[in-house]
Amino acid sequence: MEHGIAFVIHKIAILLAVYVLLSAPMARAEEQRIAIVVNAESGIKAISAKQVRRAYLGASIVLNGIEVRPLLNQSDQLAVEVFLQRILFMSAEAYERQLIAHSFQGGSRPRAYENMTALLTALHNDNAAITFMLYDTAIKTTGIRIIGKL
Amino acid sequence: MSRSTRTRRFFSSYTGRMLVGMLAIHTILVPLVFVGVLLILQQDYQSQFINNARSQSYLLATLISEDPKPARINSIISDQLLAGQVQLAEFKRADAPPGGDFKEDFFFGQGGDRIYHIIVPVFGPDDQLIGNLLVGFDETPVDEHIRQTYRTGLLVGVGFIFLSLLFVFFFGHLLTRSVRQLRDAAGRIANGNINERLTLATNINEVQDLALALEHMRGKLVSREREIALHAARQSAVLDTADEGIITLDEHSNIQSLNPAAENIFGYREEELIGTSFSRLLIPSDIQRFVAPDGQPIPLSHHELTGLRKTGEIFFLLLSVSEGNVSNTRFFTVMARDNSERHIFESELEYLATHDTLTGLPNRTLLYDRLQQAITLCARSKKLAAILFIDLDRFKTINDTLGHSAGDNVLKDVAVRLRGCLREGDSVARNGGDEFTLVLPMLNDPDDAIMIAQKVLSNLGQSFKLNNRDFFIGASIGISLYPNDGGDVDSLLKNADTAMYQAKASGGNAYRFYSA
Repeated sequence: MEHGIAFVIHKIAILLAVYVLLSAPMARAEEQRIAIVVNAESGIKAISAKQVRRAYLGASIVLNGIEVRPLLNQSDQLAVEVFLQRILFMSAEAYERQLIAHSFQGGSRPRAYENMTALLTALHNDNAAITFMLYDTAIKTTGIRIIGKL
Repeated sequence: MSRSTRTRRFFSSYTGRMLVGMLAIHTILVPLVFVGVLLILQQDYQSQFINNARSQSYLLATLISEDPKPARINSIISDQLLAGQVQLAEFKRADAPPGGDFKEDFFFGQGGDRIYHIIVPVFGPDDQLIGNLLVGFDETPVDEHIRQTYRTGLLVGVGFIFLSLLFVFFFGHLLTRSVRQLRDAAGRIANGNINERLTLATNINEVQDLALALEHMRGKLVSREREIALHAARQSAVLDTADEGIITLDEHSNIQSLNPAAENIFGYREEELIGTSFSRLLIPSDIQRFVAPDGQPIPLSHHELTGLRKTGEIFFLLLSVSEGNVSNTRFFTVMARDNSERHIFESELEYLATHDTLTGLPNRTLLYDRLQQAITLCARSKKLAAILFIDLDRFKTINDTLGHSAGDNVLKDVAVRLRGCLREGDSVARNGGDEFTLVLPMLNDPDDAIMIAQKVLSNLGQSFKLNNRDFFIGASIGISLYPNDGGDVDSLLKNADTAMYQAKASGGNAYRFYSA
């Protein structure tokens, strides 16, 4: 019951956030591009959109002899939506359902980060980790390397 | 009862307040819950729409990427447009200039043009970007669906509130029925039906407890009321049967209550006196003895004033006035007694103490007093006073032959005849038995006494009629003179007595002056 109420409150909070975003003067995003990044020392050189999609849906992807570990960047709502639309071709709810189903089948779900600093720290600590962010953000962020522009 | 009063009463009632409370709760909570639920539903609809749009775009892009010939691409796009699944669709090769007016959306409703725009990159078999598929999905059906859901939700919410209020009204009325019964029962008790037992058929514990407490209280009230009634009856009986008039006054001397004895004393009925000043029951000259200058009664203890009856008759009024205080209100209690009878009684006692009951003449006690006054008067005026000691002759014969009653009649007649012999200022007294004494003050000459003595002998020498027969008695008179024969009462009486014996010894029916 408590979990149910928490879920509803969580939903309402998300909706309110979305409404705040929508109610703001909404200049339509100008050619938003997603950058797939790793830490600067990572051995992963490049990744295709299809490989990113598969990695984030729970499939095992090995690049340059490294099994890719995807990290979910939830610090930027716009980046998430662009990523979902451009790479995964599904809504946030559908992706969540997909991850839950994958978890039930014994798979693991990508670790999610609500805070950019925490995400970058995790990325720096793991050479197999990849994550996504808006391209404009990625080019301004130090210590990372872009391995795909989608 | 007017409509506004009824409305006010209703909203002051338990049911009314429950209704208002429930309305307030529902006004806040129901919209909150419904809005929350509707927002979740709206988000679900939008999410589902976005998911469909994104997956369908992906499928189209996949379809195009399998054989990206222009004719085939146009055919696929044309089919999609014809099927109405997409509002607009266009394929732009990678080498073509980017989007133009086509702005991609990432949130439902973004752009405000009711079309959800998606740009899907299309990759060739070697994962090379061959172009972008621009697709627009109509948001209107989802919007309509959301609006319809809102309308339904609003109707359900209003219906819910209405039904809730209806239930509250019904159950509130049901719940408060026992309270209303209790109120009605309490009202009947307040209206005097205090002996009506308070019973209530309800299974609500609180109301049952309240009813029991009220019944207990009613029992106590009944008991207390009986005690008070008994006490009041006793007090009333005391007041009604008291010999003394009992009157209560306020601090301005106005009469508040009085008992029947007070009515009898003053001759007024209660309603004639209530609210009027007690002063009207006193003669004007006595009012200031009873009322202080500030108008309030003066506390008194057994003071005799002169009362004034309704008939105008005045009488001796014995008053006691005491002050009391009940509930911070001062009052005065007047105990009033008609003292006239006591005065009459005292006068009678005094008369009996100084007069002979048979003849009505002054007795020896008063004789002494009169004689002393005569001595004083004559000493001051240098005149003579004579004491005539009279003893009837042959009186014993009448007493022995005709009885004491006849003797008494003779004595009464003698008293009348002796009175007829006196001047103004003279006194006659009966010493006892058949002896009488005359006191004759202010004489210029002893002959004045002789004249009176002869008159007495003449009057008493006339016949007395007893049992239709004439009887003759006489009198022997001894005379002593002041200051010649004594300067005090005892010596003058003693000397007159001696002279009387001399007259009696000479054969009676004569007078003799005292001679030493």
